[in-house]
Amino acid sequence: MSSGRRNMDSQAEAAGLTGRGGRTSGLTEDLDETILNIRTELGESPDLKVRRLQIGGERSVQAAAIHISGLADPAAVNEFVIGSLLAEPQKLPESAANPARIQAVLLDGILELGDAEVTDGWNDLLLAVLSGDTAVLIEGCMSAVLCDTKGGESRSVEESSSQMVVRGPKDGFVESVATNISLIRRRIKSPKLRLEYTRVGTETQTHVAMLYMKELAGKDLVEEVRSRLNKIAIDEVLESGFIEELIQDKTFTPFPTIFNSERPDVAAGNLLEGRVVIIIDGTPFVLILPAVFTQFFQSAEDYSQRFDIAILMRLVRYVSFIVLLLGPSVYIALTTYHYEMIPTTLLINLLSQRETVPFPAFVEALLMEGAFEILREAGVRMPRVIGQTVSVVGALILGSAVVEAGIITPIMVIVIALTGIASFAIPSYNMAIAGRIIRFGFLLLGGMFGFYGITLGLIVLVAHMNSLRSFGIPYLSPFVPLSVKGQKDTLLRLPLWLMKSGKTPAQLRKEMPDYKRVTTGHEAALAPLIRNNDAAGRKQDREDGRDEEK
Amino acid sequence: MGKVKIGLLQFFSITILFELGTSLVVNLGMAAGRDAWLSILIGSLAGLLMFSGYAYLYRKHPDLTFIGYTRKLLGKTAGTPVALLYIILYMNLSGRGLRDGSTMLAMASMHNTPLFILSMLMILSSSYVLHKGTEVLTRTSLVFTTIVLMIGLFSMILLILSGSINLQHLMPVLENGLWPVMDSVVHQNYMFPFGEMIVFTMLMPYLSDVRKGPWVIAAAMLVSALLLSATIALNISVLGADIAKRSQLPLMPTISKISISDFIQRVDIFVVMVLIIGVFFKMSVFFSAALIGISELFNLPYRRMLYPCTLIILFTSMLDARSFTEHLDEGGRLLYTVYPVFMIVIPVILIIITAVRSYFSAPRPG
Amino acid sequence: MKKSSFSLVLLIAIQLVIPLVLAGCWDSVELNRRAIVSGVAIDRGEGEAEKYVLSFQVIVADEISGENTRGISPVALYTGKGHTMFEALANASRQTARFLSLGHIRVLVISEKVAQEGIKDMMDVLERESDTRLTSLMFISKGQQAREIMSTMTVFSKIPANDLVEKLDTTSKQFGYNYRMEVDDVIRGIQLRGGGPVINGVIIDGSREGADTNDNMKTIAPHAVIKVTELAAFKDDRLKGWLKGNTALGTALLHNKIKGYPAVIRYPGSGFIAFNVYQSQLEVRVKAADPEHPVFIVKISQQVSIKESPNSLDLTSPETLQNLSPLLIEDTATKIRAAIETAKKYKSDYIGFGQVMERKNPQGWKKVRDHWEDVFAACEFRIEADAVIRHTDIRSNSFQINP
Repeated sequence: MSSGRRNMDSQAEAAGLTGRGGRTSGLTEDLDETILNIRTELGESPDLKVRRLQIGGERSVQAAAIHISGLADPAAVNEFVIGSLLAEPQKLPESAANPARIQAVLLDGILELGDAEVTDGWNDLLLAVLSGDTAVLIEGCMSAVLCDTKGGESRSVEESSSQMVVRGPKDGFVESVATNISLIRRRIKSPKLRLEYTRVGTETQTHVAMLYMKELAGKDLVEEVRSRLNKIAIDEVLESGFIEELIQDKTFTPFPTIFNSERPDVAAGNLLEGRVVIIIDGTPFVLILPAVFTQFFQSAEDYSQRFDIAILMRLVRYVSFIVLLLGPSVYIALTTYHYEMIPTTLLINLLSQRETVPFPAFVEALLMEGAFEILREAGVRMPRVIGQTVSVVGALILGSAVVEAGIITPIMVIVIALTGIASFAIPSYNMAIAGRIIRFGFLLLGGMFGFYGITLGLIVLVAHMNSLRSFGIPYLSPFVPLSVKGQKDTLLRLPLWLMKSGKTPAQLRKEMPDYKRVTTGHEAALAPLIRNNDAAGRKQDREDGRDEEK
Repeated sequence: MGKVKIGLLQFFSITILFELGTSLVVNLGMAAGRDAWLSILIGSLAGLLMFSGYAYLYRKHPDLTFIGYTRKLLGKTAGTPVALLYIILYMNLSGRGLRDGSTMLAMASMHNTPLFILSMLMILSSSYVLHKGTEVLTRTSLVFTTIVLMIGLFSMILLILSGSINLQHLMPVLENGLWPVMDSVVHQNYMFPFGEMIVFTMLMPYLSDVRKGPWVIAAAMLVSALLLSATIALNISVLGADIAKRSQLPLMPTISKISISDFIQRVDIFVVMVLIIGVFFKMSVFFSAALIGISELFNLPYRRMLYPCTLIILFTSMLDARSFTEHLDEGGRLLYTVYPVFMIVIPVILIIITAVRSYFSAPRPG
Repeated sequence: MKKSSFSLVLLIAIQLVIPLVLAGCWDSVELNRRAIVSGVAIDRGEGEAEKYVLSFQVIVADEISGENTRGISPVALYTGKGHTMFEALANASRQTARFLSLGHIRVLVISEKVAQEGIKDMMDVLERESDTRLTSLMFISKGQQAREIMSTMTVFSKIPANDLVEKLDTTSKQFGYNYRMEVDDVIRGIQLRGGGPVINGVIIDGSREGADTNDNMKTIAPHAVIKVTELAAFKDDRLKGWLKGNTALGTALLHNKIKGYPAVIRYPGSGFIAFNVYQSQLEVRVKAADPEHPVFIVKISQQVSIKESPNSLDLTSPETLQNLSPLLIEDTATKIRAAIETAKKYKSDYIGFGQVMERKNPQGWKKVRDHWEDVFAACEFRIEADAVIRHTDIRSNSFQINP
């Protein structure tokens, strides 16, 4: 913790907390002045509580305990800080004329807190108070004792609502970084588990914790993550999405290159596979990286079910992704371009359905897809009780009404419904969204060029996915580049005893010599630079394939 | 490091797709009648021989592209024009591939779509992929090789199930002796598709393994020769030599014979997909070779010439010929007259120079 | 610079895409703009200008599976005339509100008259056109206009063309000598040197009156029934004659296309016995050392079961069955002989002996191929037949045997 805090300090300084008040330090030897400084700095905030005390017996010293109500745990403040300061005045030595000595004594013998330390940094002090710590100031002392009393109200550990399983642990991450770390630590009781803290966001000063397993996670991977995190220059971090967007390899892609999860067991599992987990304070969604395409099709449940069943479930997910991508477009291409492929009896059926429909099939599909997207968006945003109604009205009534009115063919409703359901079969929400967006592209291609457009679209899509990397790891690995050993837990899920020697991302990374891509701070992360420093110009200037000399 | 390296498997797959390319669907070597499958095999042997020459050059200059060692061996003054000619050749081949693909597509399914639009869509996709780099192209090829092979396997099974295969159509073998077969080899098959492997001399410097690399490519050539030969034998055994010979795209009628209880029928759209994939990769390999060549020759960044080249290739393909027949005829003549210069004569000269130089430099110690 | 190049690319892309979206979809045809053709009848018109009269049987899908049927005919027939097939097709489109889509043609019926004049010219478009399928079945309408076949209401399938296809499949499995004859089979047949294709015949049995309305099926026995009938034998691309009975069966056997057929023999002294031939394998070999006088050896082996034995034969005894076999063999040999004799009579090697010859002796074949029909008509055939009676179905002796 202490190393973390030191780190924090430098962070805070770098972030320029000092500059704001226009003063270098508000800590003075005069207690009143210091309290005034703090009050001013925090804008006379009414929730800033200052408790003045007299500590020590006869030769008592003026002191003050400062905390922000609501952030600090009142029991801890009362009992362990104020209580212990006032409890045994005789312990304070006679010779406590030197205020620094008093501080040492406080730490050594009086404060009944696991985490307390002395600081003389003004910003540290403010940050600590704003984080829920209690600062103990002593008259005549240029430094403050910071007592860890963080607490206050937060959500308790509940089942994750976004990633449900039938079988498996039911706890989910919460908004508190400390709780989240504890959830992971409870699963991995290994000394190899490493934790690093940093603060991100000039205004929000959000705690960001980076976890990894020493030896399992590649050194260069950890280094890369650390450096990307440190290069972030942004005002606020309110959710892990902010961090994700700033440290990902590529912005202009619908595909997520960083995995997120609300489940501690998933995070723990990924840690053990050599990945890095980033926990951001204030959100239950942790980031897991590097993430490859196949990872988004894995569910925590795969490992609690029998392996053969898990394989089947995975195949279903991949198939549903393909259905999601290509379902409507293949239908359009088949009916408007390649009608000869449809079995005659089915064709007659389709023909008679289309007889009264006023729209071209393409417009029909676009309308239904659009309606479906609206329905889904409405259903998600609505309060849960109304959400049900939305889906009933939308799906059932709208669906059957358009068919009865003869506006949309029943088969189109079937196709769209299938596509919609397929998008829910993908365990990862952000991958499903990617599929939903790309689906429209394919719809356009299929409507304009039939299978020709779809085939070319597929080529471009695969090429695009091939050009992606997540922290140096090719997005489509272990399929492309093919690694037979890597197949144990991708499309298949082999029995655990066979899976032991699967490749960790660190090993994968080692096999790809040209992974390194340095992001240079905020803007670089937002718009990855396409570098071309190859003066000879004879090699290709692949943006992500080169060691960049500074 | 710093330089992009492409894995062996990726090279294997891009070679296969490159070789299969258009050849898989057209009536390749059908001048030899029902022995066309033999002429492919013999042609591939000739192609392998030629490739061994290219591989020799690569082994001697593992870090240089063809243009690189041409300029090194022939000197700047003589080498640069030759290199330029090669770039033009690659662009031309790319344009011809594009024309092949778009015309066949127009014949096969898109009857009314303007050729220009079909070509443009194809070349735009290609330039997008090349914008991502040659390595991405090769890695993408791995996925699509799998898809093509799966389509092949699937069609094969369905053909067998629908009972359309009649192996007697392949008999008698070599009824007119070996000569017509050799004639077809000499006129076409040693050059198309196997002689076109010259383009890989531009890509081979990216091979991740100097020692194994050429072997892998040769193996891929052999595999694709077997696949091509099997496909042609399949066409003949389903359609008979005559219909296969007269079909522009014999694989399409072959596959369209698949009919399984009236449910699976007319799956020839798969052939169109294979055609698109094949043409795409064939064209893109030529395209990327031209780009690599240009950026090396003129010291330009790889990407800067991407869009100009796209336009050049697009218009080459459009202005190439007025009709497909003319285009094929022209191709046949180029195959017999111009390409051998580039694919045999110049490489042989380079091989001789390299061999002589290494012979004279070898005995000297240190 | 990077940003500008990116936006440039974007700009170009947008400019390319927008016209595509606006003007695109050249080949796209909505399903309700299509008239799906299920069968085509090809008749001979008057004179050269109307050489081909094409009748397209178009599916009226709404009538077949729609919800609001109007009670009209499930198919409609449109006719076009022209010098060439393509012209006739274009001509027919003047009557159709929708695009005649040839991708689902199941049946092509050619009238006998066209077949007698030659079908070579009309086959080209069937092969060249990418929309038509090689798997369409071909028929010759015997003695009738082909369009009559296409305009007869059928009981089991609302689409007469489908009905015809199903009839062919059924009969080829049960009765024997008709078998699937697809477009490419016919083309290959025409290309046989000195030979020609064999095509199934089809006729309308019954009275034409009201055959094209629903009245046709109002009675239990339909007035007119489409019936798959004899085989049309060709020389080159011209119809030479019709094969029926033993001849037709023998021809089908020689093509090795037969799946099963009933064989009836007369057992001396105890009436008729019916067999079911369920497996039949034929192989043709040739001794072609002298190409001008080849000797063909037809080897056939069959597996049969007894289906009907209304007599007092003791079927429990293997000897009886052994005695029956030669009769069966003789029966098969008769059929094959009849087929070959007829082919010789027509001077047409529609069976494909020439191909056997070509495979055996390619050089010799080159010498004789130009006058192959003469060589074929004169050459010698040997038939080696074999038949095994595998079982007697679920009874042994007939109840007619009195213990």
